[in-house]
Amino acid sequence: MLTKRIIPCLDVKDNRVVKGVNFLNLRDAGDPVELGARYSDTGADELVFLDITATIRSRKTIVDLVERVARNVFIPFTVGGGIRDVEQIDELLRSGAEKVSVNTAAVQNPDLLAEAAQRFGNQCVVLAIDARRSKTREGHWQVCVKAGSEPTDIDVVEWAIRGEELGAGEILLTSMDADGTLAGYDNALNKAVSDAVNIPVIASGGAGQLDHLYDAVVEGGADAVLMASITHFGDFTITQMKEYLRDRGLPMNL
Amino acid sequence: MSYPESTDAGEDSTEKRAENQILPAQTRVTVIIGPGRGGGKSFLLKRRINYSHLTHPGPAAYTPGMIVVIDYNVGNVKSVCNAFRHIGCDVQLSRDPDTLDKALGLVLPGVAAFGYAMEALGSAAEPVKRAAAQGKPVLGICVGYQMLFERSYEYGPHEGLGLIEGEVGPLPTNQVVPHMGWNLVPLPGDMDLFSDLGEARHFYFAHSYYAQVTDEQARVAHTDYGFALPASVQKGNVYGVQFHPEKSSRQGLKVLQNFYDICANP
Repeated sequence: MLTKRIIPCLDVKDNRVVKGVNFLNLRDAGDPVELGARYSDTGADELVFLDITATIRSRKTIVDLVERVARNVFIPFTVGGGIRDVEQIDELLRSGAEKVSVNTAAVQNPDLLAEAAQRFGNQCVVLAIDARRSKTREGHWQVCVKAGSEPTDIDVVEWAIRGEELGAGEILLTSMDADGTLAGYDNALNKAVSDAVNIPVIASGGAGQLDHLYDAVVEGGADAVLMASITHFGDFTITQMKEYLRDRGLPMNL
Repeated sequence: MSYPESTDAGEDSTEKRAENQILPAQTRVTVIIGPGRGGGKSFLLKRRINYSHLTHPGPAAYTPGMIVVIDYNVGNVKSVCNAFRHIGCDVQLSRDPDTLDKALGLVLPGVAAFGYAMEALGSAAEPVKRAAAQGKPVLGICVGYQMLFERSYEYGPHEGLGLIEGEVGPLPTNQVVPHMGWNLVPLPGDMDLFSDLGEARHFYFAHSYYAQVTDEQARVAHTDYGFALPASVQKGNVYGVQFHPEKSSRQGLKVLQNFYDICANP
């Protein structure tokens, strides 16, 4: 049986991991290659690197980063942030990334998902969705783009379904409402999306306690859970998370 | 830039690498390479090489260019090379037919749609078929594994290499597709790729199509994905893995090491 995945997320800015309110505590552990290799060695199932600067100037930097990570990390990793076209996807995959996530570019040009899937296979095309609870429609979420700064009129569940049809092989679903709160994932959102699509859904945003991970899988129907704060800050090791979930009956790669 | 040096060189990385091995570090050999250019005085280059990962340790097993990873325009070529090099196995990246013909073993990686991958492989297909016919070890990974079969129906029908009987079709949709993540593979004792790996291991899968193996001469390892999904195949000297050994942590690296050993000790 397929195991549930534990995926640490590394937000990268100017070659440093920057995620988290207590970033200063991580000063010496903030190198993405080092941190990635450590996670790879300590049992993470997968990694996500998000280039949160994502400017043209940082493009070469991120390719360089991917190459360095790939020499030290022997678990799959996804790279995202500012990716615009299939040529960039090609470059990142050939540099050693297993998957590439697209967000804003897919909203602006949905055909990008289809083009990428046809060329590389849908298993390496991740549709990243930043979701915010709709203030006007109860039980709905709206897609936000440009690192969450720009809300759109697009409904998250509809966009997820469309993304799957176009060729996305996985959805990285971040709740902007829950992100950074450590109060738990938005499992209503996770469930709405995972019920609507037949591709894996990675729950993201809000993990603070071990039972949050369990709830994302059981209540939210997530195939994988992504976290940053609780693992970067050393609250829980990957093994602790996996053992906890295994002891509660979930299939884990231990 | 503030990155540490890659683990390709240096004593610290050797130590670190040793910790990462599945097998305990039993041997650590200091190899003297040289003498080099130095006039009357021997100019010795001292390198510490950790051979503990090799079943048959020693310089005899370390022949440059022995294994060729086929370099074609698909996703995981570099990752496969990185993984072999990380465990100290020298591999060469090439698509030159002569180089492929001279290799003792070939690795056919592949992250791409099937049709795109076959087209990208192009003229390098013939050396792969020749190597297989000559009894040289050939290892297909992911789409490279699927290409070993007769044909695939991913985005329309495409001919494969036809080294193993079977066809590649879409995964049943009563499960989440792609089959993405770590799945447990019970390891048959008679499949050489899985030597010293125990009875079952988790490996990383990422695919939407799978091979229905009809070849009666092929040994097959399966994983459970609502049905017995073929995860690895061996037909004589032709090996394939649907999962990604280069991304399957230590157990994956061990599979690559086993393939290296198969090539080194035919």
